[in-house]
Amino acid sequence: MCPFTSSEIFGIPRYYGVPRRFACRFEVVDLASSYPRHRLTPLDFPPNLSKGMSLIHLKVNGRSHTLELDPATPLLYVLSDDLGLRGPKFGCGLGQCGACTVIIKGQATRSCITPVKSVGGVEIITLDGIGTIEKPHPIQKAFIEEQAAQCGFCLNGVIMTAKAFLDKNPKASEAEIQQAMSGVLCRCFTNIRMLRAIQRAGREMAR
Amino acid sequence: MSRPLLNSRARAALERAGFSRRDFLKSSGALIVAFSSGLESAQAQFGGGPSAGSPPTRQVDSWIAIAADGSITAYSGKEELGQGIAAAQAQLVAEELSVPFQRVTLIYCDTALTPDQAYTSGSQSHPANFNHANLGQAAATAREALVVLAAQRLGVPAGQLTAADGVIRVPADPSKKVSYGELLAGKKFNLTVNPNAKRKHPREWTVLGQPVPRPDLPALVTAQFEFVHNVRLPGMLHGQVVRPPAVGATVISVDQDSVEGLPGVIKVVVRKNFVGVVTEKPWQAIQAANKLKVTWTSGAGLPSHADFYNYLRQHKATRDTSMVDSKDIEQKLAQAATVVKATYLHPYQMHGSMGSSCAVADVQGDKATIYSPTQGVWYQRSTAAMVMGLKPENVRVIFRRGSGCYGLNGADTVTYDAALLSQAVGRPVRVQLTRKDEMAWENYGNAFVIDERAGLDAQGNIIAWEHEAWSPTLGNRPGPGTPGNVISGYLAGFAPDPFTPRTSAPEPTAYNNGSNAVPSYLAGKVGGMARGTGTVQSERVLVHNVPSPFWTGPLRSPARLQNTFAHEGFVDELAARAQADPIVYRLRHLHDARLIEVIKQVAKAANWETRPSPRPGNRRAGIAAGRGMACVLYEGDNGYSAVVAEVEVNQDTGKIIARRFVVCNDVGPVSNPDGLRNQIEGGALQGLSRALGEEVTWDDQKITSIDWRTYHSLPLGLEVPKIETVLLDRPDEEATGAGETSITLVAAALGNAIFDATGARLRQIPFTPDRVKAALAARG
Repeated sequence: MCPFTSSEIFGIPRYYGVPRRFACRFEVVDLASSYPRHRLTPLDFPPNLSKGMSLIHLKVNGRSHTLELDPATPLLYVLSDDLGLRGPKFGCGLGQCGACTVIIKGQATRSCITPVKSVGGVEIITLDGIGTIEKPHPIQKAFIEEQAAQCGFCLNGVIMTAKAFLDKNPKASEAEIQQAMSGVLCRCFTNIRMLRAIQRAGREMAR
Repeated sequence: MSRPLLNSRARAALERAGFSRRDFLKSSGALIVAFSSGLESAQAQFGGGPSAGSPPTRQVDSWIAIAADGSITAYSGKEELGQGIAAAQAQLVAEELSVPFQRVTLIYCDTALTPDQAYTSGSQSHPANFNHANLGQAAATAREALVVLAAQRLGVPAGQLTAADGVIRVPADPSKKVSYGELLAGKKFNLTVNPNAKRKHPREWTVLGQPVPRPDLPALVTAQFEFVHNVRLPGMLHGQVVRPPAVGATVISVDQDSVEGLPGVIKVVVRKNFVGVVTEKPWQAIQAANKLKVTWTSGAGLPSHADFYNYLRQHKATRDTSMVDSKDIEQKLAQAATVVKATYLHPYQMHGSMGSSCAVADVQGDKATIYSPTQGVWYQRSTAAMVMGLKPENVRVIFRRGSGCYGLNGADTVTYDAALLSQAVGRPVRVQLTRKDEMAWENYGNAFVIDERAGLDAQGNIIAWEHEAWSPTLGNRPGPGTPGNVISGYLAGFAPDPFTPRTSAPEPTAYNNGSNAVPSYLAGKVGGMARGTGTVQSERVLVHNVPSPFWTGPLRSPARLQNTFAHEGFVDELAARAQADPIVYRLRHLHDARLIEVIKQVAKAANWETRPSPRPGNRRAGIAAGRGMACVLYEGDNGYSAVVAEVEVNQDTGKIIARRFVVCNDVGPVSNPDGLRNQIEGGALQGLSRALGEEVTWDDQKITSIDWRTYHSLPLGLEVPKIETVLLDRPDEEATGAGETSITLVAAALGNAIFDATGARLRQIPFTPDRVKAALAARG
């Protein structure tokens, strides 16, 4: 029995992109029913495609890409390997840890279990696209100011989950932030600083 | 935001240096510095000696290079895993060379560039590089040499010179000054590290001791940082491995046709029991690995998980080690007014790094370049060379940060995976393990059965203490020559360290408390010398190692956490038996002044109420609150720590909520207080997760804790306790480790707090709600 299971975890709201049942339960991940299906972008010309491949249009961080892909490929691999983005990361491949999180239609979405065909033509935001070293997003700035990292591998999931939440709930309380972040893991356990950084970012973003 | 990025700068410097770094070290363009003292004794301090091919650790040039423009590059064998040591090491070099922090570029752990300092592990980076050898001493040697050179150049006695901001000047005469860059003019020092070079005293520090921010954070939070997972080489392919379906299963046959025609498949690779696939793209590799038909023998069968602790205790062939034995334990126990016994149980736990382990290998003919998150690049080089059948000097291993670490996670094993697959296809191959392959086959932190037995006199004082433990072992760190100590090396045909039973433990010849097997309250007398921190004279500590069915290896605070959980829980039981306050009772049996001080300081900071446990007046239903403490001298000599935990126990559901931790640490001089606090906080919460949720599980054939629903980690946002840290700065002491102190104490402090709240004693990790409820029911 999972000691961390609680009403809070099971009450994970939809903005995670994580179905409630992902928390501390023994179930097979069902890709088909877990995620909202998005309209497939109509293809102009699907010329000479290899067997099983489709031409897929992706909009990532404001840029358009047309890629020949196995449409069942999880979005994560397309972002990190075909597009070379360093934000979304493979943590578990099961939608359990949050390392692969991107924001789609304002929702924090776990790209490791999101088939690429389901997000054709939809604006996808990754950590790479929200700010730069020179011009960081307030939430990135807050993480630097709070020195909220150890190894840093989880930062993508933490920041993107928090951003999607704060975008909709800039005045969230400490308890609401804690609840919002209860589906994300940091195995270095930088919890204290990260939660502090998210609160700091919330104050900044609410201005 | 204007701070230059250490990481990108380091990378640029590394690329500039490339393999020519070695040529630089070999070159004869040396500056002859009129300076020498105690040169030959330096190497002896390094112990063991570095691997063949390593830049010589006794040479200043192996550690420090100053370019003509005055920029300083430091080379270290201790890497940044996320623990914050990179910032601290750059601070160290800046401090000893009297330059601003930003002037220093730190390069660490690349066998083409940096000296061999064995593993970055065991809380050893701080003591290794900040005391009187290696990086810190090399920088101090360099500064003294530069002052001597400046004295010659300026024609004034060295004593009249001061160094600041990379310039040496005569304070009384502003015209007389020369910069480091001018003095060296791009040449090397050609100077042996001087063990007597004068170090900056911590009271004089201006760069060290400051909470310098982590230089890697801006890149980390903006997705610019290159983890090993982000390494992409031209022509790179992707690999996956196919591990056995059961522990002990071996390959009968591999049906290569089963993946014929799947998209992107380049090759199926089989080497003894190592099986893998290489494809064009990562998702193809996962699909091909899933579809590859491998016929395996049945597994060896596993001992029952439910009965595992008895299995350990009853195992016949054991390897026994005696830590202390005063030979009078039975006699003293017979004289005791009371004898108290208890058994503490700790499961296997895993590193469970957030990102599964990843490495990229590029094997071309008889040469290989490997990007690895290993803790020891030189040991990875020698063992990867064995796995590939190459000469070590033809293998370059470059550290790239992986996800987490916490000890021997899958870093070394996945590096062999990538090396084997790349060698088979002659192209670069990236392998990132699946979550299941990571969790089912990593080298787990050891399970433990610990029997504690103590005799008390009529006043409740401890007069004798016996500790006897059983712990399973298989494999370990692989370096320098045992790749079979991790799963992929083993599957490829290499044997792990042999298990050699030794059922009569030899007499200890020296006191060694590296595993914290000896409780803090014992005198620790070996060979007539009492080196423990306590006063109890009648003592016996005996450890039985047992062959493990699963791979084991160091997990943050290896064995020390498990032993300390038992000792610090048990001393709390003794205090309760004596109806004494747990802190007052501990202090009655301690003599080490620094350990006593951290206890007193943590008690003060926590506003500790002096009284016996359990807390009077608590109800036996609903929510009950309590507090508990624990303390340790980590590894017997590597940092003092004490923790107070405050908890709430829901006596109806068995749920534990930690509300507050107060941690006091004494690690010698504090090199970077914010980095230290970060380690203490993270350690405390990792300790909480391990105490409340984490346990490796299995059935009769295989591991069943294979993802985050079957292995329970504390999530980011839920019920996070407040953590207060008290740092005792000890400027006159040696630097000690800091990364594993708080995690060592949390389980014991929590257990003691639960007892304080409820009167129920928990002696088995993790403290699941079921176990809590069982303990509550057993109160009677």
